[in-house]
Amino acid sequence: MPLRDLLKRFTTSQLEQDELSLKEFCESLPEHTLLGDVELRKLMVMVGEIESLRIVPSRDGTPWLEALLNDGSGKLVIVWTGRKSIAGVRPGTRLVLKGRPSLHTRSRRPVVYNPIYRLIPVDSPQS
Amino acid sequence: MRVVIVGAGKVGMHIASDLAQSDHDVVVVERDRNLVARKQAASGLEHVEFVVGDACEIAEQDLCGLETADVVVAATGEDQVNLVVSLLAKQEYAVPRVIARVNHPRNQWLFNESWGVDVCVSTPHLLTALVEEAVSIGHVVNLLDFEGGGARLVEVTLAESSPAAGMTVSELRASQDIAVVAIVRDRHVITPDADDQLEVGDEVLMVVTAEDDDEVRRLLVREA
Repeated sequence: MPLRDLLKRFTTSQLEQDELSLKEFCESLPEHTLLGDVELRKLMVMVGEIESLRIVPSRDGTPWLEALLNDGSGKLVIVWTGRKSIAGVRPGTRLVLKGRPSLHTRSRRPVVYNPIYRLIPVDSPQS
Repeated sequence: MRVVIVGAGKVGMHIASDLAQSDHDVVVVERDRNLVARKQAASGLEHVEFVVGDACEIAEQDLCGLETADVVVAATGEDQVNLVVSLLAKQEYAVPRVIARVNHPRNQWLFNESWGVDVCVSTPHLLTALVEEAVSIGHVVNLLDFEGGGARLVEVTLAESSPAAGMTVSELRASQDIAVVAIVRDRHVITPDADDQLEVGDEVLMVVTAEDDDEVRRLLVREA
């Protein structure tokens, strides 16, 4: 490792390092749109890591599972309606999803409802 | 604005011709080929584009250009169709505003954000509200629900026994989360200031939250 990289490694925080490695990982996957470049209402494939999860009751009382997805370039909200939990979907899970983002009224972030998704196994080779 | 209307019945066609006249881009989707042919021949609908197809099928929704629609109106005579159209429009096509017609009042509880409905319109409920408004002095009449029931526009004509008669607008505000939107007095609309005093016979229009219903009633209507 060159000295410059070593120096950088010592001077950046853990948080920034995690963010960088996440960004690197996401950018290495083929054929997807970066969350920072998401266009509303276009069907697109996106990847990222779940940063946080929460259950939000909708107005009619059904639970909605809301995940915040991060890929180092931007963030996206995923909503699964009528769900409290989904096997394998936890903070830290990385996934590939396909959907048409709209604008989330509460957070002003792009949101995708009930997307088609695939979990990326933690120890998978980057392919 | 690009509006997609599903259902070429009386309701759908009326909306279509109204909107086309105000220069909106209108597409009507209808399953029944013969009905479409008849409506196309009718006058006043020259600028309305028709698509023959089942709006409940994803493959056919692509044809109607739902991905570029600003508003979708589900106006068929069948509630189940209206719900499926709303859900697909909202979740698959990210349509900003979805309006659905409720045919049977018993189904109204289903027309909410879980099914992708932003605004639902039920003729029987609307009529009830209008009748109530006509017959009631001293009753809180619900005129309109915003955002799936989170806030509502209500109207009260102050009766002589109303505890609010003589109060100022600021006193009313202090006691509750009430936004007084307008006061109608002697056929004049008054934009309420904090110091305006409410009088018997005033029609008071307010935006309140759904939970505050009982509070509003207690404040503005003396229970018998």
